[in-house]
Amino acid sequence: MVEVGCGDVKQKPPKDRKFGKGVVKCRRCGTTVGVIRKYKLYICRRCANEILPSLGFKVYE
Amino acid sequence: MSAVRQLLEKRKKKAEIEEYLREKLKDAGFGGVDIIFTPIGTRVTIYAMHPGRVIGPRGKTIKEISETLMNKFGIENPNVTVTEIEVPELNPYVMAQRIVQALERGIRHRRVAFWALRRIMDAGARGVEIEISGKLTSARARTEKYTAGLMPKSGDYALQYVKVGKASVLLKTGIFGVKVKIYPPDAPLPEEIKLDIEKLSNLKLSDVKVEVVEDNGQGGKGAKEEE
Ligand SMILES: [Zn+2]
Repeated sequence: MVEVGCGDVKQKPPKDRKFGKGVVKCRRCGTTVGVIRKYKLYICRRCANEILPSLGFKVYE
Repeated sequence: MSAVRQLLEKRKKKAEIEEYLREKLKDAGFGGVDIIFTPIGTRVTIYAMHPGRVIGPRGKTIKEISETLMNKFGIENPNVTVTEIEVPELNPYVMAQRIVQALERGIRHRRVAFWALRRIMDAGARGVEIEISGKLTSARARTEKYTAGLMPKSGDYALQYVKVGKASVLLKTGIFGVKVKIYPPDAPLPEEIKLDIEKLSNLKLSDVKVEVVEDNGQGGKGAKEEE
């Protein structure tokens, strides 16, 4: 383990997660924020706006 | 797996492949791809302005592409073929990429935009809209829009017929975005009225009947006037 900064702050390697918000990622850009899981799409809302029309969805806004 | 999910899974794969090819074949004038899944294998047809650059020296690039399709995207037995685009001017992706390449060479944005506008309109398009945004002349970013002809902005006609292509470049002053919208020559308009000339010329004076046919399957009812 490596000492970082001042005091007792120590850095640990990221936890290996099997479930939870950290593993639900957009398969296009990798963000965990705003991911659409419906139909097992796993696409975030920002990427959805760009590629959902090509999947046959209508994107209005 | 439900039928909806199966369909979406297939289309998602197609969209991913298209994105990969667009990035890879930037300089070859990539203009779209057709992917057909068959029981024997997968047929991939790449449309490009320069088919030679897609194939590469002794088929190096095309071999790379088919290997990536197999390993990264998990496509079995891909059969990649390249076809030249007949009218590259009517393909928005190709034109956006060409504008971007011209901007990279340091040509003024206004000149490039008008050049592209004329090229597309001469190719027979019904309407064009070119948007160039970024730090065009000053430090403040701005968007400039150049238009010609007709361009539906809303409704089914805008969603169905208008083709949109985007591209971006990183220049010295910052990032520039280019958006090209093309209304193709064969696309109809809702308010367009077509007269059946053959029918009209065969008519006798005794039964003069004027039929106005609205050429779309959605909005109009096909108005009929009798005299
Ligand atoms: Zn995303």
